[in-house]
Amino acid sequence: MSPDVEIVKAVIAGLATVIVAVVGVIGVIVQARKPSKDKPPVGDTGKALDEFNGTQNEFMSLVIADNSTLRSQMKDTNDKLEKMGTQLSTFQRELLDVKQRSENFLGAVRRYLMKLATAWTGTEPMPWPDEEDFHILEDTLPHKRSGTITRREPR
Amino acid sequence: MRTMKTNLRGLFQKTVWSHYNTAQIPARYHLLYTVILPLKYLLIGAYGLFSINVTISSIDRVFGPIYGDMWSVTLMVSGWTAMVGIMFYKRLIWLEVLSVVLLVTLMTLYTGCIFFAAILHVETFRYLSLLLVLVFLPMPCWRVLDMIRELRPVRNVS
Repeated sequence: MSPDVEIVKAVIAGLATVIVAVVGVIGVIVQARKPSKDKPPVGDTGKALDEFNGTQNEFMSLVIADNSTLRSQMKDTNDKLEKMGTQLSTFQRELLDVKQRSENFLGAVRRYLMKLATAWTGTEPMPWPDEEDFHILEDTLPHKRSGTITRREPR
Repeated sequence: MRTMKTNLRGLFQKTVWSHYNTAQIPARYHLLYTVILPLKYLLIGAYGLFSINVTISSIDRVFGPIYGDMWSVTLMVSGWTAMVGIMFYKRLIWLEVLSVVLLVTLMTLYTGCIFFAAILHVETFRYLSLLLVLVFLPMPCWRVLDMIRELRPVRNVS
């Protein structure tokens, strides 16, 4: 085979290789322009940003990637908090209900005891003091007035 | 001296081995990007350099010795360019795309040449050459798909 034929063969083969490679690169470009179906990367770049030494655009792309991840995490946390808030308000309502029922029960006990006392002594006893009356009584006690605890004198 | 040290440190921070870049790579790919791929590209480039001196008979028989030498030089250049591309991860990604696509083309052509040489010259298959192709070809192919995935724009989460 003459050297000219060798050269022509090599040039044709080389051109064919270059064309195939260019077609491959164009294929990569076309595929790369399609939007990704993946989820955004997990935002673990906070530490990396401290040592960042790149261009402003690279910095912004990092920040945007982190921001979108943080926003999705915040949304999740917010949903959880709302659920917990609903559970808490339900619990609070149940607690108030229990308090109301216990007060009703204590009132019924008080009324029963007064009726019992009336039947036993034959006279109407003094009305049962309310909670406010107790506070007033406590304020009039000597140790409350003086600020020091003293023993009460027997009446 | 100090400026040179600072420059070298700045250059190192831009490579795949600095903390900034490794933080961007998923943990399961750390070894692949920092060790395996650069080493593989280095070896492919070294194979290109080796094949300049030692003629590859399958390519020579199909396309002639001139193209054989061109193939070797192109393989060496594209292998080492791809290594530089992966070293500066995501900064020189288009350089890596170009060189890896060229690399895949050359290796595929080499595979074809092995088969053609075997058919034309009625030889037994060159198992060693095929083994070499099996070692070198799949990872650049995967890397092309991986780079496409990396280059695609990421959707915003609303």
